[in-house]
Amino acid sequence: MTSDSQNHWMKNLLKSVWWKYLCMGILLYVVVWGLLSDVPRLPILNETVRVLHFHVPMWFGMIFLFLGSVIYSIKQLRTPSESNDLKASELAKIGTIYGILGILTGMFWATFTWGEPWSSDPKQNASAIGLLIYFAYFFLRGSITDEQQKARISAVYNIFAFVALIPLLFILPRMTDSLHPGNGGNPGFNAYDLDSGLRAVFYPAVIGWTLLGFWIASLKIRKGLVEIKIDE
Amino acid sequence: MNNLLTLLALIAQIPMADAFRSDGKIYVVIVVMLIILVGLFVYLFRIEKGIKKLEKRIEEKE
Repeated sequence: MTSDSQNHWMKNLLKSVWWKYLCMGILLYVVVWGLLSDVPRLPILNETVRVLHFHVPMWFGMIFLFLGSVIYSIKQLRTPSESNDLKASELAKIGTIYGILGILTGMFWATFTWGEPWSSDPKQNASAIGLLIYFAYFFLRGSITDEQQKARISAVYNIFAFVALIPLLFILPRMTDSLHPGNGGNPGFNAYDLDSGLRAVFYPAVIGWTLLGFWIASLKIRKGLVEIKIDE
Repeated sequence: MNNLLTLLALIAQIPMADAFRSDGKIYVVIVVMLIILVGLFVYLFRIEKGIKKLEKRIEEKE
C-alpha cells in the first residue's frame, strides 16, 4: 500500500461509524452479562471477580493506545508532520487516563481482597513507575516551546517510554512473587481466568474498552486537525 | 381472620415483576450502569457532530 492510499484508508476508518456501534454493543453486553453471568465461587474474591471485566481491560486498552502512540512517534521521526505528533500525543493521553483508571480501580479492588489499597505488590509498583514515565512525557512536551523540537524530542522519548513499559509490566513482576494472578514465576492465567464463562465476557470487554479509548482519541485527534487547519 | 389469610394468599399469587427486585437487586445496578454508558455514548456522538460541522466549514473554505 502506498503511503497516500494508506492515509486515505486511515482517514476513512477514523470517520467511519461501524466500529463505534461495535464498541457500544460490546460494552452494553459486558455490563449486562458481566454482572448476570454465573461466576466461579472463590474465597476472598467472591462476587468481586467480576471486576476482571472492568479493571483489567483498562490495562490492555492502555497498552494498545500506547502502542498506537508509539507507531505515530516512529512515523513522526520518519516524516515529521504536525498530524503525526498530534496523533501520538492524543493516543498517549487517553492511554495514560486508562492507566490512572486502572490504578484507581485496582486500589479499590485490593482494599476488599488484599486487605489494603497499596500492598507494594511488584505489579502495582511497576505500573505506578510506568505511569510516572508517561507523566514525564507530558511534562517534557509542556516544557518545549518550539513546535518542531517538541514533536521530535517527545517522539524519541515516547519510544523510550514504551520500551521501558514492557519489562515493567510484563517481565519484572513475573520474576518475583506477586499478588496478581499469573505472576510469581507463572506466566499463565490462574484458575479463575480459565473459567469459560468469565472468558466469554472478559475477551469482548478488552476489545470494547480498547475501542472506546480509540473512539475518544479519534475525536480529540479530529479536533486537533481542525485546529491545525485553522492555524495554517 | 380466615378471610384475611385467603386474601393475603390471593395477593401473593398475583403475578408481579418480583424477579426485578430479587437476587439482591443486581438488576437495578445493571440498569444504572447502562444509563450511564448510553449517556456517555450519546455525548460522544454529539461531540463528533460538532467536529463534523467544523470539518465541513474548513473544507468549504479550501
